[in-house]
Amino acid sequence: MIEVVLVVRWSVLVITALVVQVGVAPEFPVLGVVVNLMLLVAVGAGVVGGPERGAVVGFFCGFLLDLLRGSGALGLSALAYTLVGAAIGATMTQVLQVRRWSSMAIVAAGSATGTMMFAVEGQLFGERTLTNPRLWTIVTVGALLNGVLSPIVLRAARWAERRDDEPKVLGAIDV
Amino acid sequence: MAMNARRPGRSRLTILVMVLASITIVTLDAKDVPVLRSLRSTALDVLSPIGSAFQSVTGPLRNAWRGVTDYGDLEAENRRLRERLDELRGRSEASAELAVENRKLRDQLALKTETPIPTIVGRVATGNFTSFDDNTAIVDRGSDDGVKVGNPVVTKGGLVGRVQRVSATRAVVQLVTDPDLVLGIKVKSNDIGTGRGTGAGKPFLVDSGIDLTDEVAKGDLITTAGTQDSQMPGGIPIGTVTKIARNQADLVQVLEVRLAADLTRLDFVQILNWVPPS
Repeated sequence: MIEVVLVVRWSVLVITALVVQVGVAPEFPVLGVVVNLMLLVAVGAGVVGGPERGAVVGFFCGFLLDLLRGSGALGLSALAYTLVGAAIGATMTQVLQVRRWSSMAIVAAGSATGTMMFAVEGQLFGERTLTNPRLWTIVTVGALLNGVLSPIVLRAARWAERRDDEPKVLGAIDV
Repeated sequence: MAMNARRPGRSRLTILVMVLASITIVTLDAKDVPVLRSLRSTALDVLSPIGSAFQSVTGPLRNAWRGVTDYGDLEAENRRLRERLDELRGRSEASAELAVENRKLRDQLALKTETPIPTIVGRVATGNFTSFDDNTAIVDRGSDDGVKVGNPVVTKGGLVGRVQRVSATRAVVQLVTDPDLVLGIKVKSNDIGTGRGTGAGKPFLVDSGIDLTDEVAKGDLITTAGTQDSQMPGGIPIGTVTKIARNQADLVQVLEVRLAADLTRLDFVQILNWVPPS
């Protein structure tokens, strides 16, 4: 029953992010960079839920984003976000205490890593993503935007990950 | 915080399954499996209207946002457009005279004008969903409207690109700025070469086929060549030459071309009902 609730909550979060990604994000680019909410949710899942959750949510976020993309190979974002979600989750299991600022920095770093990972994969599949002249702008601005937006998404991720059978106080990690 | 680190074995297995699933999707997509193709088309049909709906709702906010974030670009563009307007005013008189002369000559020679290609008018449906998609645009016309893969897309200004993918109600257009879209081009002197985009906001580059002895000048119009096996019909304006460099190694002239169509503010487009010969 708990697993079903988790799946439903995470589905709600991912679909909401997808709708915002499709409807709102393209309308408000910063320096020509569209905020990547799907990557942000994948990283947020890793931060809040650990490597397994990061990988699963990352896979679905990436796959949905792949379906949306006008061009390019399907599955590249899915692979990149699975790996980055798992990696961030694994990193977080080693961290004893995280404050708000450091969680923002972790999300920003995770976003930059995810974008670079996608760019490397894209290049391997002939997409010219790594040689894109705007790559560093996309990586840097995208990471900063995700860092800034992380408190909202991490709050939503905590809601999605919350197990009703667990105590409300959830240890030392404060994101 | 509910760190799910209680079952490391299961956790590792799940991650492995997800990675393998991703790799499988990449592999199947590379083989162009119909299921994935139709899934992608369905996603485009279902999700793109959401983007269109938001686009109309957030229009005023978006304009205000772009006014703030693109102020420098808008100022530069305004200056450039004023210069261009002056240039075009000068040209229009000469063009009118040439058009009259052309008509008279055609009448004399009893030449028929080229059969016009039927067009489908469409509109850019939404902005790009990710930052890596700046060489594509999504148009609100699809296979239900008769759009096919390979159809050229133009505006009144000139060439925009070609249809790369089609779903029932949407078409993905590969823009002329895409380095992967190589086009046959023709210069004023009727010499033929090939050119390609160099990325969004960058000039089109003609880097082969124009010999050092071929006559080309700054301001010359570059059009699609329309030769046999060409991806485009002939005579569609691509842009004007802004810079000419001589490549002594390959004995060719390299031309930088400013695109005729303004791709930064695409709205209405025409999709030509023409497909390249197979």
